[in-house]
Amino acid sequence: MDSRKLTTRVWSSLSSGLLCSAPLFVLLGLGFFGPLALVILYSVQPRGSFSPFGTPTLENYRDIIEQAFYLSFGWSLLLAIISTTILLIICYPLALALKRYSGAMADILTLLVVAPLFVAENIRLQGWVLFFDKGGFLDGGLNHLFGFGPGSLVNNVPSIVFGMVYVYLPFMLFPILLGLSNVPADVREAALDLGANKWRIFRDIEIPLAMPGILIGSLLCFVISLGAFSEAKFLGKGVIVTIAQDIESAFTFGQNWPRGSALAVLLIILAGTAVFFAMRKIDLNKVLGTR
Amino acid sequence: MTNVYRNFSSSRRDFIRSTASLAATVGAASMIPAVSARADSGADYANDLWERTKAELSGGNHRMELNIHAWEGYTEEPVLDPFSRQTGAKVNPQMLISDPAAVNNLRGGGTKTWDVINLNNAWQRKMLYPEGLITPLDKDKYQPLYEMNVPGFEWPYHWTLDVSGNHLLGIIQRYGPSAMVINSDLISADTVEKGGYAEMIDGAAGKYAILDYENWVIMHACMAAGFTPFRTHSDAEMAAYKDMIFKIFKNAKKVSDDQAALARDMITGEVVGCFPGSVYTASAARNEGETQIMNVVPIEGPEETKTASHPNGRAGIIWIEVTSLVANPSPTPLADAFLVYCHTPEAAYRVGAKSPGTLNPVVQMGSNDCLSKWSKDELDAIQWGEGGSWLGSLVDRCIDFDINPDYDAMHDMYTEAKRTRGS
Repeated sequence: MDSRKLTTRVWSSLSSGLLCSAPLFVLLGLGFFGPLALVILYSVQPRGSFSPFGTPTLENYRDIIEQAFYLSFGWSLLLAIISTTILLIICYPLALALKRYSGAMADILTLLVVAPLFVAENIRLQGWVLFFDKGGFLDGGLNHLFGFGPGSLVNNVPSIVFGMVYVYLPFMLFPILLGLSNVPADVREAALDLGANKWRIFRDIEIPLAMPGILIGSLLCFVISLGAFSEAKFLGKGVIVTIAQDIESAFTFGQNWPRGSALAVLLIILAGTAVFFAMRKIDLNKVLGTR
Repeated sequence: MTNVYRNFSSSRRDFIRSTASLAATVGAASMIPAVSARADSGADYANDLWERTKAELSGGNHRMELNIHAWEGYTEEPVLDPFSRQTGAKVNPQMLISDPAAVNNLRGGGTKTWDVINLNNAWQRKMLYPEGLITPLDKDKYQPLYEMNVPGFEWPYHWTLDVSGNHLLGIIQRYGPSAMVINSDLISADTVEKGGYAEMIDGAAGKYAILDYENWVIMHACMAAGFTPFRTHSDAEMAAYKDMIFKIFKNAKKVSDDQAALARDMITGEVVGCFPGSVYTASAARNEGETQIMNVVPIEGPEETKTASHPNGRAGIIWIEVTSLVANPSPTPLADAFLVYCHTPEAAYRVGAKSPGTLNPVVQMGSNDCLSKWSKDELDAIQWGEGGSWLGSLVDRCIDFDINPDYDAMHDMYTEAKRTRGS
């Protein structure tokens, strides 16, 4: 093939690829990179700025260091780690059960997991507040029946973790299910025939093969937990402040858009770092079955 | 009526018993001149003006959409539906999240979107009008409507006029005293009123909640620290504020911006009261029969608020909402019509009594045509008292809401106090 023909062919396939991906690039540019650039620009504006194009300053980052914002970052990070760990422990056996039960039972279990997603998160959390609070369904019901109750079970960190685990459960469960679909039944049987016990099958076959799904689920839950807001607000009732609450306060009552933007940039860096390291471990082609 | 606040195990509040518990407060309030509702040139004028306004609208060729940016009450069906029905307008309401956010919304180009803006007083006179974000009203048209108002809100009213006094910047309607809200079965109203904010912050440490409307927490923390928030503060005062705001958060049992949840917490005894709190914090619970929940304002205020007419000073802060016309480059007469409509006795009553989750007094309750629409329970919900004397006594202990020039620095301290409260 002469070189001119080859160039034309490469260019033709390249241009058709560019053409097909153009809508996505435009969408990402406008909907993702545009706002991201705006947030970064605002984060280096002085307090009181409502334009992103003033003289840049790092004063917002200095204030963040000086005003104990590490506490909010710390709580968000800790809550994300704890809730992701608990979700892993809960969702793995649940995913196994869903995989093994086929037919109607699996459909019912899936429906039970998915159904809460049709109700707004805030409403579901308010429902738990009414359930756990003093004089609520649990305390009031027990008092009514037995003359004693546990009092308020909200307004503490465990109740926030409970809320996060409850809300983010589907985001862990379904990626693990996807990962477990990479574990062929005949591989397990072969291992059994060769004398492997259940623990060894779990450790050496199931976990490695399902790992992409587990990592995706963990990553997803970790990142959205980092930005968790409602759980601390409704169930925590101010016992701690998450970084998302600080960002909201800066943008609303604080009317300090640059401060809010600087906090958001730091949160993005934190989440981005987690994504970067996790993605190095994931082979997306394998997860999606394209290789 | 189903009582949404009542817990599962306790019995319904005996209205008479709680009324008796208020006797001391109401007794003290009897020193305040009662509101004598007038019958009723102002209301007649309002109704007549509304009819004329509708007639003028019907012939006009103008935009039939009205965009309202307002606090709750002005954004709900009980108020908006009759207006839409009578004018044929499509009303697009958006509720405020805070006064400063709304001001910056207008600064950021919101004048092209909004036709009507409803904010607490001071913003209009000090920022919105000087910055050209709102337009003046026809003074001659609106002045007779002040005949409807309760005492203290007569023409000319400071917060609706510009600095020169020549331009009318909006209408006034809802108002309310703000200080603290308590469950008087758990903590004595008399004790709190005499002991002041310290009675809650120190005396009820670990037993009160913070109603987390951030700017209001800051304002009342200043009052608790012994000075008003509405002027520039010295370094010593800023230090005193910082100590106070940290203590307020450290001593609080919980923090929430959900006033209904806090009312429920007060009823169940989870907390004895909340800081800060206004009539709007207590009114929905009171309207359900939980009349032990009440707004209280300390009797003695900071030194700088003491005057010959108020030798004990004023410890609370009164908010007054002002509704204005946005300087929209494509205005619609519907905006001005909406302000007229709000003065009709029926609409004024709906603004005060029919917004979801809260009831608030309106200045038009000085008109008998408006006042007579309120039921006895609704009046008790807003702590009206005999002839308005209870509410009047609370208002009398308040300074007017204004703009805090040190808000930015104080907000930084507020957020730091909130973050570190558990550490």
